[in-house]
Amino acid sequence: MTPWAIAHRLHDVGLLGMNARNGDYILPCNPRKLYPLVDDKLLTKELAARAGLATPELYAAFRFSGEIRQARALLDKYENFVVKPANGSRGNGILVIKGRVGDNLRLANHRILTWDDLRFHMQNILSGIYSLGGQEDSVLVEYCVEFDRVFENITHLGVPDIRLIAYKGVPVMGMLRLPTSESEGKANLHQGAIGAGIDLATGRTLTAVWRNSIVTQHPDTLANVSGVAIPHFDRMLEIAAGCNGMTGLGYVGVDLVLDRTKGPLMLELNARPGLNIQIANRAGLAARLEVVDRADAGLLPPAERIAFAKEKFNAQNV
Amino acid sequence: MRNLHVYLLAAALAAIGLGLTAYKAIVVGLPLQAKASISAWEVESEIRVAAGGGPLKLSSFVPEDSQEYSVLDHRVAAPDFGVTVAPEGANRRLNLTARSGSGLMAARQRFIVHRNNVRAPDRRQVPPFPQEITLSQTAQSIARTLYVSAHGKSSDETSLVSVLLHDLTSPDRSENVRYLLGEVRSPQRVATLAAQILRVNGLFARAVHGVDVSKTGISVETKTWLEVHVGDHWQSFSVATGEPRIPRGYFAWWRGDAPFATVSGGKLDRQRIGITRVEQTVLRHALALGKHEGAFLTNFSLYSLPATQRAVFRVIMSVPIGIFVLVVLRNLVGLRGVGTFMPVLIALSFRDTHLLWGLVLFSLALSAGLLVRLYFDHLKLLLVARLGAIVMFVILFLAAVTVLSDKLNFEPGLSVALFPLVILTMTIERVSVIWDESGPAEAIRLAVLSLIIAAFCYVLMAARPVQHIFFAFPEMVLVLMALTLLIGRYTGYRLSELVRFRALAEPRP
Repeated sequence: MTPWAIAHRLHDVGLLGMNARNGDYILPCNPRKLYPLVDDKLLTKELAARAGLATPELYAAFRFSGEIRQARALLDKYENFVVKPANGSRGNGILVIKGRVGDNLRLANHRILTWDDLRFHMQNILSGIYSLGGQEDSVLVEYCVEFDRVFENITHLGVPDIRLIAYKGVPVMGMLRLPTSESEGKANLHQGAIGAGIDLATGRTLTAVWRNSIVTQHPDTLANVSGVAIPHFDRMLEIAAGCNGMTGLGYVGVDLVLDRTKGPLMLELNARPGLNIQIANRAGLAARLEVVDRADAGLLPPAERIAFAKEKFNAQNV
Repeated sequence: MRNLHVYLLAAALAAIGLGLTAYKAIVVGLPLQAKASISAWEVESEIRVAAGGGPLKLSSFVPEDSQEYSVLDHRVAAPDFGVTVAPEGANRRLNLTARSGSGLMAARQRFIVHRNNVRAPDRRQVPPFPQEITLSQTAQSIARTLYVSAHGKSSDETSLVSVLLHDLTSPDRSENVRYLLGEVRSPQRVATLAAQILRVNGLFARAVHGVDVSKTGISVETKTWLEVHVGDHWQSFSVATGEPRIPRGYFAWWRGDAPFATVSGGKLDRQRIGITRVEQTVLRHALALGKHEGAFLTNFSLYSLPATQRAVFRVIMSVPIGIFVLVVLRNLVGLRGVGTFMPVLIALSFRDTHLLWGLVLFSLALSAGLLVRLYFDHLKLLLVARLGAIVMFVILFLAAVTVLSDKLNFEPGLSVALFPLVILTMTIERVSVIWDESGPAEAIRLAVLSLIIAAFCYVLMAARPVQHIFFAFPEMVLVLMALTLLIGRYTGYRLSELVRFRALAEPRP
């Protein structure tokens, strides 16, 4: 196909390009001054707590180098925990601690880490290595999610998460992200994770995409990744639908995990959610965003907004 | 609504930019190409005097613009003298004075002569009557006789002058001519005498002295011809032929009977006029003319800056084109390098090192810096300290390369200036941070991509025609700005997205 023909096809599908996402949705809907609310995960946690949304429990936060000395004293009582930069992006700088080996820490990928290594990692986070603009950052340590058994066969090492895009309070698209050995436990598509589209009406996964090609099986476990029913999906839609009002951002990416005991937890929000979700769903975002705008669905009460999403954005009605 | 606003703004900016450019190109005559050249000559005169010890006065002439020639960049170099210029009749007198002088003293004039591509008759004013007549009574009556004779053999004023000049120069001269001219028959003498004869008989006439710019040399002889006011304009006559025209290259310097240089209080040792042909660009010509006519746009252009600032702005004005390339690459193509405008800065630093050597140096320093970074990784250093150590290493590395290339007599290595060094260290810092954030593969990919983009920007930014356009017509930046604004509201697909989302364009299975 000629580039021109491809562009036409993509336009017909309703694909949202980077320029349109930035110019037509992010710039008008997401005021710059609200970004810290979602860029700083500590702030997001506070906000969510106030709105009554469940997030992984915060064990400790470190803002200054001096505090890091107490890391062991504060964290030794937790068998499992996750260390994150508060302003990190794309899953960089995250360490998942799962148990101990003698006096040392064990990482989720079975590597061994000394407490000194951990403190060095925290220092690096504080100095801003993983933060968006390179500015000083803080470290947050939180509950390590025990993901639901549904995902046991279709994930490798890391925690699978669910990304929902909410526009003006209406969930418009969703994707299940499954870590692979290539992504080293991270749930980011560009690092090699699998992305599976989700039928918003049923909460079942649709086709999946891995490294820009369509797959039906997980490359590590060979289990089927399509047609998986996600438990508590309605609760997830409710959380996503509430995030626009909570933050003031009109266009937001909501990352959720499903804990086997605590149910859906909101991990983080993103003011500039990526466009890969369209490949996973084999559907265009622009078309769906226009549907929301045309129906003024953003003005409906929350329950009706979710009903609207389920009616419009399902497998039969792409 | 927002789009309409942007379109209107872009249209206005583009209209202003293109309008000003067109005005300057068509009306002021700034050329759109840097190279177009025009005939011009550099004329230098030297007067050397042997000073007598007392007060010294030296006098000469300063050339003036005529319809056919423009005089530019006139300079007097006479360090031992006080210099004044004053109008005197049809001339401008150059007076050089010194309280006391000894030995040989020299005064020089230097200027550029441009030939204008117009040949309009000279309608300068007639000097007020009576004109100076220096002939004796006897000579005056002879002059009248000669005039009457020529008058009888001619039909109008022009032919009368031609006949008179012919009478004065023909080999079988009459007694009368011999009486007036004596044995000297130099063109100066003939022209001066012809002017006197014509004046005695009530015509306006004068001898004109100058040089033939078409005959270049270190020492050229002065030319003299005759100017007579005929009808409504001054008509030039060649002395040798009597024809009412003079060769194309004749450039008038001073008028009247006076010699080129007069000295009091000393002795004229030598006088010399040299002419060299210079390639003047149309651009300089237009600017020079603009200065003469006081054109606002050329007086307030970047050309009016001192040379050093001009050089700086020649570089600065090429930055917008690089930035525009980056905007296109980012928003239309979907390519990005290290930092937002880092590739433009890298391209700028290539100006000092030249492209190939710049690329080699950049790659070498970047690899060296990243290798050191890899090693430092084991030392568990904090971010800023680690970056600092890397930058210090890079500086040492560049110093070593420069010293080494000097020892090996390898020219380009020496051209590492301060600016490239700063850019280089900044780039290494950025790449290093990307290495930390997104891994080595991404860091190297972005670094290589940045170098490619920088090379592309450099080729565009260093291109002579591009530089010329943006320096001569800075308002073209407004046009670029208009295009950039339009791209800023382009919400269509980027070229890279056609590849990235290719799967979505295929029909559903």
